[in-house]
Amino acid sequence: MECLFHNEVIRPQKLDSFLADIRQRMQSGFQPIAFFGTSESLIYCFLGKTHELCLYCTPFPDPARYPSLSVDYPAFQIFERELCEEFGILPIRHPWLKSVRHPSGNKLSIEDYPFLHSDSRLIHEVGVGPVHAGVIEPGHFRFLMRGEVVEHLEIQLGWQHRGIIPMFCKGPLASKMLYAEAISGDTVIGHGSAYCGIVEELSDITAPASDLRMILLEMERVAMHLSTLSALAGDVAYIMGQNLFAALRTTVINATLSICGSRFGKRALRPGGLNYGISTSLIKDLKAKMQYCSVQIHDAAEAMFANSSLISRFDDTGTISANDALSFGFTGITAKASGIPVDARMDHPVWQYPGFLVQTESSGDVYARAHLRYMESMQSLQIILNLLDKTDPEAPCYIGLKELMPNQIAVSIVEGARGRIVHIAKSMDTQKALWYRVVDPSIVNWQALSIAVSQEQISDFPLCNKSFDLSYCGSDL
Amino acid sequence: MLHFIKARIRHGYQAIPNPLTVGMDPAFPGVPELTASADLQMLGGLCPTNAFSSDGIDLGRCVFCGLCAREHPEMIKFTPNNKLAVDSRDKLIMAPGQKALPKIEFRLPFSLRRSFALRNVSAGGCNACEMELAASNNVNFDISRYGIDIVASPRHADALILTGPINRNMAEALSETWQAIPEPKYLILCGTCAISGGIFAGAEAINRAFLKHWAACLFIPGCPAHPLSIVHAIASIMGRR
Amino acid sequence: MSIGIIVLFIALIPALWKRSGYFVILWLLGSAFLAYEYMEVMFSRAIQDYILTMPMPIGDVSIALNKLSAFFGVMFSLGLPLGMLYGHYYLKEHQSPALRSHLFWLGIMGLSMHGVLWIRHSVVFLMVWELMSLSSFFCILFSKRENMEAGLNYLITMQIGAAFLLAGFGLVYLQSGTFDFSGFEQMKPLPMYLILIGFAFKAGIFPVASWLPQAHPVAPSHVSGIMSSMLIKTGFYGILLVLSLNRLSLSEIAALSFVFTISAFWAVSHLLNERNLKRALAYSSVENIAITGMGICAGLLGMHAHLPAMAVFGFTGAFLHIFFHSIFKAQLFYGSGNILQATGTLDIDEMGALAKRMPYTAAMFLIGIFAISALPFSNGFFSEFTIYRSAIEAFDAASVAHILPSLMLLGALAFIGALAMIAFIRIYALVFQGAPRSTKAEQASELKPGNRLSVLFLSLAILITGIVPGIALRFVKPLLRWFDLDMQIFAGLQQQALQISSIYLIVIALFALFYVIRKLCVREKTGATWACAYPRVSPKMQSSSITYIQPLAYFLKPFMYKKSTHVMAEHPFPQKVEYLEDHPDAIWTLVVRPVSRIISKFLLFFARIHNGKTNSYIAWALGFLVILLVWVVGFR
Repeated sequence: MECLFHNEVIRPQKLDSFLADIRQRMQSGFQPIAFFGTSESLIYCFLGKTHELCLYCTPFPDPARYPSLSVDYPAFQIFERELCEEFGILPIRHPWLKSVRHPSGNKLSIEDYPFLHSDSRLIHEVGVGPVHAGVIEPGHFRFLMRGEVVEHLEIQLGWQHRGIIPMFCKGPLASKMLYAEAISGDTVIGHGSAYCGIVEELSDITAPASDLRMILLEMERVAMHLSTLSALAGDVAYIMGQNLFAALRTTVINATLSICGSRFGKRALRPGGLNYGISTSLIKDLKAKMQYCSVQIHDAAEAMFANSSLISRFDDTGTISANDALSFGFTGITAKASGIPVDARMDHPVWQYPGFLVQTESSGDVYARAHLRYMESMQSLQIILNLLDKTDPEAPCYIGLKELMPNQIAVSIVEGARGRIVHIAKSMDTQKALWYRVVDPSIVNWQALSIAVSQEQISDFPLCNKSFDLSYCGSDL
Repeated sequence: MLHFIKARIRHGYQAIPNPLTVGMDPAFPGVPELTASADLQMLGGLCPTNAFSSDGIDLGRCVFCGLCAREHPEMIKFTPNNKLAVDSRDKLIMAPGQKALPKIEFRLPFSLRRSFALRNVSAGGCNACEMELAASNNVNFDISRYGIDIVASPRHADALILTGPINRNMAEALSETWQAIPEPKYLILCGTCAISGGIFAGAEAINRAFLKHWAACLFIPGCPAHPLSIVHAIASIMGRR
Repeated sequence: MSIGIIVLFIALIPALWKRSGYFVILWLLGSAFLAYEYMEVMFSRAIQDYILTMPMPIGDVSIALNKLSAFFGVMFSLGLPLGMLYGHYYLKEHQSPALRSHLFWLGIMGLSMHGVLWIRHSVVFLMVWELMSLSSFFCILFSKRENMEAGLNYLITMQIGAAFLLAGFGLVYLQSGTFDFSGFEQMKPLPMYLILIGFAFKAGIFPVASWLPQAHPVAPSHVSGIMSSMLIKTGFYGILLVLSLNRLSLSEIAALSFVFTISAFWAVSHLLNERNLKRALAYSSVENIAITGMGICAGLLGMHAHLPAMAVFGFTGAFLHIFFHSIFKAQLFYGSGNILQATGTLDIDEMGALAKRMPYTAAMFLIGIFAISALPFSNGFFSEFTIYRSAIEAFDAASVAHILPSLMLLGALAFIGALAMIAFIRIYALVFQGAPRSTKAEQASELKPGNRLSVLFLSLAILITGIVPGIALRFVKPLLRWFDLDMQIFAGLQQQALQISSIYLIVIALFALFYVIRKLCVREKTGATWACAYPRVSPKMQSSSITYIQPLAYFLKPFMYKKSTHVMAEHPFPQKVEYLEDHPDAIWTLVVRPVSRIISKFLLFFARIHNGKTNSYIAWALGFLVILLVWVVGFR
């Protein structure tokens, strides 16, 4: 069962040495990138640190149980639960062994999720969802309330589970672009470029026009951040912020539409390059639009963060400590706002970002996350402008595909707007993948919401929820 | 306060004056035009969602990926016409040579023509249609100027606007939401996934039995459906021109 | 002698034979006669005046009615038989071996309540007063061991109150030389304060009201109802008696207002946090007594400041509130007694969805809540509104010294009125709406019509006196004339009451019209409550008793004494979450208990003498005699 990963031969180890190796790496500062089981009856564990990536694997234990890693390293908790749900391998003494997605065929149906209850009569429960009040995706939140204060929030997801991952293994891997784009419809470029990276790595080609991919990725990041800032402002009834940021987002995504025809960047990428290049006139137009956005976002954010009633809502609400962020392995804004500088553009760069510095905030509250989004948007706009200056409108944007190299494992890590997107695949033969895994940042970051609203007023819950801006479908797949 | 005033003045007026007639960026893939000589079989072989048949192109299955237009620009091209909605499923099939979709003839009853409340149910989609639906309420598109409102409780709603292919885990919830809406109620399908399942059609985790029992009155194709398509579609059934 | 009183004495006979049916019938009869007599005194110049000559030192006992007693008397003769009626059906469900003595003491209690109104001799008054306390003690007890503590607390508190009265009456006798109530005119300050404090014990005024929330929840429902609606009014009768015969200075009126204000705040803070249905109603009684007191203070301020409007509105509102409160409080207590019978619990955290299971009780309870929250269409609205008006009239006053206390009264009234409404909405929502929180609530069902009879009469009374307040105003008129208030302004008030009634009737007619139209035109379909389409909705997913008042309770912390046990959810993977909260009475726990503990420790010191040996008792007695002898004879 050997295979190649980054030109190294990977052999399955015994369970004990597998766990020991993982623990050793965790001690020296690694974080789990992915931990999953596959149809080959192997458990893989990817661990990563800045500029380092390592892979361990072990066969499924017999009997199907092993001592849980989550007891000492809570970052593994969601992965171990996934493993248990998909393959029935029990992590012994896992602190929170509950279902993740309720896939079809699961013996526990989605209605029977065992929530934590309290015997006290004074503790009541508030259940929200799956059908939420706004136009958002479904999920169920169960609060244990002491009056109006949240004692504990338990999040049940799985309502958006569509079974998209098995689709990647049916048929030629190179034809799955539409599925990669549909993993999370607002992170099309993020997941899309991760998928393209997998196919290109497995076919050993280097796609041209990486600067166009970077531009699209950064535009998507700006659009997402603007959408979240607009939602946050709307939640505290700061209507001007809500409308300003929403209108600016329209400008940004309309710019994306002018490149590829879709406001979300769908159909822009394909394995081997892009479908559309950017003409000279379009470059000029984009530069003007990005400049305009830069100025307007600066104005709007200054006005917003000068508003004292807004700050009083944001400040000290929904705090995540740096300790929690590290031990749970949060990524993206969730971690950066608590002072943990984890960013795939710096840790595992696929493209060159000259002079890139990870922005962080230290207070870990809603204000930090909002302010960080503003700062990141400005940084992204600057990156886009720099790239537009250097981009060559005549350069080819598609190189053509080759066959896959069989029996290889590829990993593709992209920094999406929410955090670190990881795609991993193993090629079976020259056309198809044996297995395909996706780790959307939301699947790890949902735990942050539960921590953030603990002992907060329930009326602050929507604000905290929007400040993390987590994807339901990315987590549910 | 000064920051506030400065930002507001510099931002200017952002509303689209008439979303029903505004033009689109030429890159937008809207209503396709199949030439009369198009080889439907060849195009069908390319299409990832089997949108081509001997009758033409089925917009209810088309995800507007543009693959066919890029490979065979002489056979098919997508025009930037955002008026994609129709009021019955068969009208979504465009024959070769057809230039535009048939007009929407369905009209809401008189009492709903100036105030129409929608309840969105997101059932297994990718969140793009939901974001476009939410965006149609923003300062640019402003769907509420036509009296269209997106409400929180199905008891206040007149129609259920469905996005997503209906996955198994949400099938029951969708059904319950529909039951909770008082008569008269209408079903609107927004996005290709809702109309036919899109790229998820036939997947194991999808359960579209709901649509066998209940008929929709409005179909808005797109992947995702553009806010202007949504605005135009719903405004049309309300009798707005 | 009064025929009514005689009939009530006769009613004790079926009581001793456990025939509660005849007992009730005789009470109804006797009360009818009494009501006639009282009304005669109120509305005509008829005089009921007897003199009973008793051996010295008691002397001539004057037994007479004046307008004030007659007013309270009508109230009692309307309320007591309804209470007995409710009690009859209640006792049928609760068979007890103590029925005979319970009925007997019930009769005695009713009689003594009437008696207190007739007697105008302070010693005999005190004897009947003590009889009232004793009989109500036995009624509370109902021979249940677990009621002993609350009952004894009540009895001892009443004894302390009676001690104050005794001291006050004694000083008055020394000062005026007569036991008759005429000696109460122009009392010196000290005896007046003592007597007022003594009556305050009975009326339930902070800080001596702690017995109320203890006694009412444990007493059988008809007793709680009678006590809360009428027994505590006897305390008010005493206070009004004193006030009618004395002129208070401005500072005394201001002090009185302050006491009532604090009492209301204290009561309403406890009311907001209370989980026991009857204890909540008991705190509400304290609050309403305080509101009545505030009305009286407003009236007194008006008299002092020569603002006739303020005086008229203040006293009218207060008297109306006394009368109306007795109606709606009794109705609520009997209603909660029905709830107790149906569910077996008084804890609102165990109830829920009773409106579907007990629709009549729910509807009538809602009427009671309208009244207690002073919402329109109920009688409570009119009386409280009149009190508010009197406080507003103060702004015509010439001097600031009058305006300041009125400002305090107005602010307090507004605040307390709102808080009381919130408290009762919370109670109604938790008890009647939502989903059942326990199997007790699930299995509840509507009671037999007999139990609902009294509640029905009282509900009708609430609605009638609410929609046509003119009836009650006519009834209060002679009393105001007796207090020498401006009758022209009162006539204006009566006019306004008529206008209010006509507005009500128009609104009711419109409402009925729209209701009929809607019923005919709209097709209704009912379904389950929308719960975001979650398939397994549980009764836990609804408010508990601490939910929406928690932010408000935060601001009332200075008035509250909270004890809580909290097992916090340890994040991020909690195993257990627990929370328990209790609001014991601050005065009781922090003042009364420690003081009584010190006293009993002190007395325990002397318990050494009680060693059971006759010899040592003889020795002590002998020693005492010797000392006495030496003292009397020796020092010459």
